[in-house]
Amino acid sequence: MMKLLTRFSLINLLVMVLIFFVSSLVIYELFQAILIKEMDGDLGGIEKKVKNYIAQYHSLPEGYPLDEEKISFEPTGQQIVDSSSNTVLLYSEREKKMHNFRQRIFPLKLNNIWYRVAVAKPIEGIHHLSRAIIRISLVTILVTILVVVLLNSIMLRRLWKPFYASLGIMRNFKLGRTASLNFPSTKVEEFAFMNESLLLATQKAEQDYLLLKEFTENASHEMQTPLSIIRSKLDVLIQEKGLSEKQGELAKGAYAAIRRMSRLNHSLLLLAKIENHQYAHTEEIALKEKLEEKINQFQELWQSHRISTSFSIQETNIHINPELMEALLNNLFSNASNHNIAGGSILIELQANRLSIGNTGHSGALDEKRLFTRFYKESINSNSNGLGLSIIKQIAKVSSITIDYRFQNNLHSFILSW
Amino acid sequence: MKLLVIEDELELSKSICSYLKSDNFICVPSYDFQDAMNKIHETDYACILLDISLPMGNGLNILRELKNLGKADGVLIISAKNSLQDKVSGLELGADDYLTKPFHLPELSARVGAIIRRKTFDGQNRIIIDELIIDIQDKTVKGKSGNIDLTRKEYELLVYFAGNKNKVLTKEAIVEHLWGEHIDMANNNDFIYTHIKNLRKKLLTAGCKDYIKAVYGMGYKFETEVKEKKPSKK
Repeated sequence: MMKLLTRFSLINLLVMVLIFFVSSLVIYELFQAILIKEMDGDLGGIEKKVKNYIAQYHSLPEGYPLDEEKISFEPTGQQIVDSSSNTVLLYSEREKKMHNFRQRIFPLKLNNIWYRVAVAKPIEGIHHLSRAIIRISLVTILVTILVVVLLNSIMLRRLWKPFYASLGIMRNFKLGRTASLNFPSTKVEEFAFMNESLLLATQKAEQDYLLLKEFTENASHEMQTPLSIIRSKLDVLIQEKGLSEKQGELAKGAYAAIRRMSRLNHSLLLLAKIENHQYAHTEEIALKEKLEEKINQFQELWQSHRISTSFSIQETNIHINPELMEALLNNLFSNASNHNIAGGSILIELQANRLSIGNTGHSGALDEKRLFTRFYKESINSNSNGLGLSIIKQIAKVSSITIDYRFQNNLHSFILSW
Repeated sequence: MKLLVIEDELELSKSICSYLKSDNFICVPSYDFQDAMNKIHETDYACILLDISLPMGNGLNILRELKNLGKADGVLIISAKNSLQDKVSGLELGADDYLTKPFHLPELSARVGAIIRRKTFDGQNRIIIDELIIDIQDKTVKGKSGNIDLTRKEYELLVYFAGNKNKVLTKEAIVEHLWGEHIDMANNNDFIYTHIKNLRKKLLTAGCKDYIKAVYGMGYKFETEVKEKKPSKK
């Protein structure tokens, strides 16, 4: 990932280098053209001088060996078509090597003989010129890059400040937790527009979230009410005089089904609420006391099922929502009890930041991959709705607790660490 | 004693009234918010059963109105919303107890009884059944031949029975009352037998009648042939 500023600077630099390159080229070409035009003008002047000389002295002028200009007179039988200018390679006396010359050729008539006159001047200045242009360009590019980098790091950073501020606010935004978002005010139209849109979007999300929360609660309400009615009708029904034993048995079956349904509904609602982050409030809980309290609640049940227990409990704290802590322990304990065998055992260990609950059971090691999925059932057990472990998993997830399953010495253990 | 049952579900309201009316209670049903508001203005009730999610109005506003009127009616909230926030705001507004649907009617009856005892007989919070005297304040029980020493569970069981005299109580309802509904265990209803057996034995030893009867495999019934003698309250 690349920062927007870095990316922008990179593109900016590339384009700038390209523009400088092209403009240098154009300037070079332009200068050359101007220079050559100037030279052509000079050569034209020489032509005029030569013509004046001939008109005055009626003889060919002598060459000046010290001059850089070269003049040659070549008699031709007839008049050459026209005067012309072009660039040619000629031997330079001064530099003792072949050199670029600008040459002008024109016809001349002296004593009835036509001459082809060639006047040439070395185009030396262009080399110096191009070197100068390249040097200037390079310096300008470097200076510009420096200025751009500085500008970006200072000006742009300052300009984009409201953007990054909004970004930071959005990153911290959590549904159901944040009050109305407070974006910094900005004079930049785009940022103001963005902040406004973000505010609207988050408000909408917050609203939808509240609606969803309301929906889950309403759904549960809708389910609980008919369940209440059925249960209340049974409560009244069994008060009837002369109820037969068979009718009693039937009522018992109906009671058990209502209980299951009610628990299932309760579990699904709990899961939905956890997933909707409705248990955002957390506090520091002394787990030792909480665990001992829970053990007291279950002790009698275990005794009646001849389940032996062994505890090793040390003081430790955990940061979690208290309602979720309660649900977590209830589910862990119920799980260890429900899947136990008569005469089995339960082993509870609490160490610093680690809780392990192990129990004997009917089956061998459980399928770890499917263990925490909803409605997973290892065996046919009408009392379990298959949601206990996924509730445990969900609570662990939102409370930053890691949970491991181990099967050792016929003991199914769930190890929670935080 | 008058009970106001504010519950929009007709069938549930009928069940509640049918279960409670035999206990010296007159049940006045109310099915909507406005009617309930009118009724609390008209007269005082020993206890108000309040469903907080009513059509056309929040039940919590009825609580607020009761507070404004300075009424001391006992209020038991019955709600399908098992959320802590609702419980807290309900109790903060002066409700006496909170029960989540789906509840057992015996549980409702026991809680209504507890609220009425607290509100009506201040300092004299006792249940008297023949020679049996249960002192709720001190958590002591007296029989014909003096104090009966009960365990906590046996005591709770007796109070629960006393709140549901002559009613068939399922083992399930008893277990949920004594251990809470989160205790979920296969065949967990049979181990209450020990507690029942011990309580019955202790009551008999103290010279009480044999109140506790088993009803088939379904549950138990606390039978009082003679009507309960209420403390001096007309």
